[in-house]
Amino acid sequence: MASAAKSDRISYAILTAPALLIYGLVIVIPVVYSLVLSFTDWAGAGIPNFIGFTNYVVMFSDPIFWWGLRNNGLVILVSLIGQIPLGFFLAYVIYRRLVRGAGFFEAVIFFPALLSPVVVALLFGVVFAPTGLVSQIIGRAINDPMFSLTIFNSKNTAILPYLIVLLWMYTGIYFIIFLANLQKTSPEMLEAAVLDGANEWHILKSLILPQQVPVFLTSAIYAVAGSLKSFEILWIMTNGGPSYYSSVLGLYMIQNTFSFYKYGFGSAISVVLILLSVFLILILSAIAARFTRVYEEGTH
Amino acid sequence: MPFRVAAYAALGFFTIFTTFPLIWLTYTSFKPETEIVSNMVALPVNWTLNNYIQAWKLGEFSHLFVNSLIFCVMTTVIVVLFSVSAAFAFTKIPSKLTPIMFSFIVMGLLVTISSSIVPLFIAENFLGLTNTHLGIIIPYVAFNISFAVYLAAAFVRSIPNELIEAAKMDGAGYLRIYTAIVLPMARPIITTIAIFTFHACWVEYVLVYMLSSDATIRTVQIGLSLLKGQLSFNFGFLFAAVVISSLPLLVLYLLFRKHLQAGFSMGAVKG
Repeated sequence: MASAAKSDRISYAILTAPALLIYGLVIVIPVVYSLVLSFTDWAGAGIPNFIGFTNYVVMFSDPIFWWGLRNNGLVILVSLIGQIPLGFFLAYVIYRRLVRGAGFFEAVIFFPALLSPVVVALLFGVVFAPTGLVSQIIGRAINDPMFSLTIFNSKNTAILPYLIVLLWMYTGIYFIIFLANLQKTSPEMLEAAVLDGANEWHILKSLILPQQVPVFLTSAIYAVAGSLKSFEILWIMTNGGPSYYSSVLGLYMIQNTFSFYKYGFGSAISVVLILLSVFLILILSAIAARFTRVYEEGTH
Repeated sequence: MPFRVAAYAALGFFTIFTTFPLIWLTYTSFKPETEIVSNMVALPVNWTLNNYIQAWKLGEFSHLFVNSLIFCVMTTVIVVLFSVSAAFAFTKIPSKLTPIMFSFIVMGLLVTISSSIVPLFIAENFLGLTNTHLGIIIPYVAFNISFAVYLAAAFVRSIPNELIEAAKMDGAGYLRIYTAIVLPMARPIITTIAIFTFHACWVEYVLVYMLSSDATIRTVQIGLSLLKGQLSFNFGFLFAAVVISSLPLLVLYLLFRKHLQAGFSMGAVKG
């Protein structure tokens, strides 16, 4: 029997080792090392000097950091009040078969999520360029061939095209998530509600929404984590410009590290990004736990 | 009734919002440059394939496609092998290590490429892996393994324990149970993981950009981003290149839509 237990342990090791090893070596060790680097002034060559919290102090006094954080905040806001509710509403409409051609709409809403960030960035780079598609359409509408859209050059609105692109590309993911979860709802319950004379609004409010609270929460967590991670589209579309107005923290990190060779400083930004992500997710979970409790008490 | 009107309005608006830019992109790619300059919005009058011919040559797409294909196929195969086997051990072989190891690997879902890219870059330089195919495939596998293990574990957990107990009674070891029973049963989740991983690799840009400077290992996405600099004012060429690069995704979508949707939808649902 003892030998069976031993062979089980060997099987366990053989089956899990490849995944654990590659994950540990490529992701875990670098993240830990990155934390260490964030306390140094390493510039990509030579011996790093330990400089304590200097990188963090410099970062927090840098206006570009705060502007990036503000833009990250807007990106999260677009997910939470744009992509997720819109994705839910579209999924609900398809799930309840309120329109014809559900299959067509399903395909059309989901497809942009599959495109590559590079493709999306190139396309919308042209759409929102000063002489691009949007400018030309407006120019034709007001009969001024020289019209050029300038609002995207100003400090406050430079991030707008990116926010529109995010809504365009990622609403489909939340749509698919909600659709998959809505399809788990028991049809008997819905039929009973319809027989009782419940209208669409009642079904949505009293039957469907309470069930979907956990999905809203996981979607929100997914959105926060994703919003802090992504910067590729922006990198290619505007590279943070004009003068960092459209920058986000991920982009700020990449530019400092690979354009200015401030490896220690770049690592410090990564650390802040991870901490921010964990912090926001904890807050969201706390809010959701409270909200679920209130909702359950309310229905009893 | 007002609900139905709102439903049609929302779907109609969103459909136009998502499809119009893609339709515009596609017909512009068939438009001669002179027509694009004179009117950006209009349909082409003289449809042309010239943009495609030029973009294919200038972008060196034949060579980019081969690289992307090598990276994505290799990564997909390795991710499937490693993740399903680990998921099986985590869910079906009793061990005290499992809770720690499983959460350790699933935590990777939170880690971003940017937070490990610097040390990774240093390590690859040290080992001489930068600008090699292996130097791209290894990180690709690592960044996809957390999600794959998470998906596979949810599936393997649903395989009845009785089946595995019975095989053990007959004297089969866990390795044999894995290859003879679990792998064949796991085919649906293997397809989902494979399609999802392949897609993630095909659209990946940051890692390969950071870890390669050599033209010989460029991928389709890198090639595209470089074309932007060369063709900044020739939208016809640029859009032809965009269409060329997206065709494999369209094929993947048409063949495996359900699996892609399953992968995306399981991403935010707790198992």
